Amino acid sequence: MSASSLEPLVQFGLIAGAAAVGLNLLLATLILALRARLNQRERDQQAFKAIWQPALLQALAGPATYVLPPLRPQEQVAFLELWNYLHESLRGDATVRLNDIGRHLRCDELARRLLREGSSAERLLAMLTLGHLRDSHAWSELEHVARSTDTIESLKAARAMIQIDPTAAARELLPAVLTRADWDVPRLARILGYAAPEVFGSLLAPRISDMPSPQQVRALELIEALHIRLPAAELARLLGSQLEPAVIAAALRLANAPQLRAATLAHLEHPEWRVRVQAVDAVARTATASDVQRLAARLGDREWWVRYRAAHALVALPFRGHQDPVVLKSLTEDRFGRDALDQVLAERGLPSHSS
Amino acid sequence: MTWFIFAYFVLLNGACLALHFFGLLRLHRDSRTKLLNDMPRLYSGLEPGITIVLAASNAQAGIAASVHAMLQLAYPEFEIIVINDGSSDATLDVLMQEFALVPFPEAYRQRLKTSPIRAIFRSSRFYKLRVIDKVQGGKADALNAGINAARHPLVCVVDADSVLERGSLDHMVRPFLRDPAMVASAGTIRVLNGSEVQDGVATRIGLPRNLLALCQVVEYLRAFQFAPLGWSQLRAMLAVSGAFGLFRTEAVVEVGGYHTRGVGEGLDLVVRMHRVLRERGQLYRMEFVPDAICWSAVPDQLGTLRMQRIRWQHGLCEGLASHWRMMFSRRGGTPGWLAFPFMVLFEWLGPLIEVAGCIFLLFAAAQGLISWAVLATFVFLAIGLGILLSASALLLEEMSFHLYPKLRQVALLGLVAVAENFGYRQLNGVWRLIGLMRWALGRRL
Repeated sequence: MSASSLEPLVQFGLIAGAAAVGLNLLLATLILALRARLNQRERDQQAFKAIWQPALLQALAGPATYVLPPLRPQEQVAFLELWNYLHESLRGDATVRLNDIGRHLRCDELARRLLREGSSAERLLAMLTLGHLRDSHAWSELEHVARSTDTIESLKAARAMIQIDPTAAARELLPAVLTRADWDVPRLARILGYAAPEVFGSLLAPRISDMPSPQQVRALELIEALHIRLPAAELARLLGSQLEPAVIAAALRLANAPQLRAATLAHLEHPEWRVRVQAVDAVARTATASDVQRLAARLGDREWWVRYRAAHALVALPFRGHQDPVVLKSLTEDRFGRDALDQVLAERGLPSHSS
Repeated sequence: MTWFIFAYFVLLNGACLALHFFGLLRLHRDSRTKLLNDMPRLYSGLEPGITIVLAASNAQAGIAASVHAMLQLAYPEFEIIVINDGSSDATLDVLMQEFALVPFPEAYRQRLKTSPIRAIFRSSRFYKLRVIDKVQGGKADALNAGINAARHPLVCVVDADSVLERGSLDHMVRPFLRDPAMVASAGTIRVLNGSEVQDGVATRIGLPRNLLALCQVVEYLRAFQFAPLGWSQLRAMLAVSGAFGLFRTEAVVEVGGYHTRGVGEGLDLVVRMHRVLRERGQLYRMEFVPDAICWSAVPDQLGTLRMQRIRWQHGLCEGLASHWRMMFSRRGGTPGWLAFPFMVLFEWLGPLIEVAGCIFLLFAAAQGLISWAVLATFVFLAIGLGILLSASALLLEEMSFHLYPKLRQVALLGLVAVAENFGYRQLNGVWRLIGLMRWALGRRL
């Protein structure tokens, strides 16, 4: 191998190395520029907050008439951020006052413009604002965004629609609520909570029997989260049919009426343990003295969770004599069942032996 | 040969830069929600419960502060299980005293096999806290014991000396809420050295004064933050740090939990999850969550750092060797066709090629086989690309989190990004090579 044959390699190395050095200088300049911009933005934000935060708080707490400083165009987005932050932190009359201030400063117009023309972050801010202001002029635009595949934008649009007109939004959004897997149930429950429970309850309850299983599960989870009362007849229908275990388990979580006893008792022997767990809890909610032996039988279940919930159910029963650990332990010969009872007694701070 | 070495270095740095680019795409996607994240957080009560599993072995000095910090995490439903893995120091006594532990007759489920459990305790002051005292079996074994006792659908694995930010669980759980197919999410590990910690909470973020720790700040940004972010964007994340990872409990149990033989339990588990779930044809996701931050103390002494890096390399070799058949397998997807070969070429064999390449070039120049100009060009190129990679990580940090608020700190990190190329990286290469050799020779660590 001679030195001359490596000349192209040196050339390649020098070019690539020089490119790397050049890029390094470029990145260093970018970092400095970004830092300078960040510092400037932070200074601006501090100056803005120093004026507007006390002004807004004073306007919220003060007399009916208020004087606000002029809002400069370059401060509009920062104002919306602050205004929304306060809105998310406050409840009651203060939010009504905030809305007065918002409309006074034409935040509705600004938000509608941002929704049409703003960046992605500004669109989210706009939807928050429009929802708080209950701005019905933005309805069709929000409807359009709620149908988009973008999870965050569509959820924010849905939330704004529910804040603006819960009844119309419920009708409009119901198919998406039941089918969009990317709209997670915990977030959805928070959003739907802006409407009165009966708004969604009246739409979900009559349809639930005819839905496909995954939708039934979602609907039942939402019904539970929103504390909607599902008619016992509807629940009995769900519990009495040969549905997917996930549907039966979700329905059992709602079962707390005596007329559902027969249906819940039947599921204590269900082949799927997730159903048996819920059946144990459901039976415990409406238990009579005659159910003690049925629950005790579950202490010998092959699944840990069923034994554990059965132990909880038995320890919590209000019937005379059943609080005694010796009586409780005499209910089963199963070693694992007794272990479960010991654990639950300890969790509840009760002695595991009769004193 | 010389061309090969040059090309390898360019390819390695180019691939890492490409990962940073994919990380940038993800940061751009997430940036719009920053405003929403800053808003007051409300919970619906439907958030899935999380079991935090903390393996402690001879951790008497910091365990109480760690657990106190975990108890303050902002999340509606979680429990903490500390596993005292046969500590020979006073770890258990400290826990007993600090948290008023009382024996707890838990109906323990041995779904994953572990070394024997001696006792289980529960705090009489904090109902969320339980402690498992067991015969020593190693970190993986301890984590398996914690998973056995987990009562929640998600299990969060945390190192005993880790400091989690208060909202970190909330960030980590979001991918699970958004996507029912999610089985794992990984948090960001940041260097704790130099920051102020009060009651287990990082109260002021600073930079360490120790040069070794400083080099690791840049290294962690480059390798443990923005590279995994890129892999996550490509849906091919092969590792979840043992210091902070969230898993679906059932998914971990189904694949057999952590493997207790060897030291690379974190990588092994994640690669196994990929392999098993892909073989089953099951839809699944794993995601890196950049704003879920866990602060971790890094070694600031050469000997400790050396041992850590040898252990990491050994673990990496074990993890990759155990799942060799995933590479280019029919159902391998991006993990099997892109991430696994990348790991093999640049992480597994990398130290060998890098160290051997440098020695070869030095030898060849000394023997007159290549000109000194070629050697100088190689050094120029390797250092230029090395700095570029670190600078790219610093830029991404500046664009996204800027956790180091002072310009002075950014400038110092810039200097370190240059300085680490003169000794630190080479040392790392040698330590990794030792790890590789030890694994190849079957020597235990």
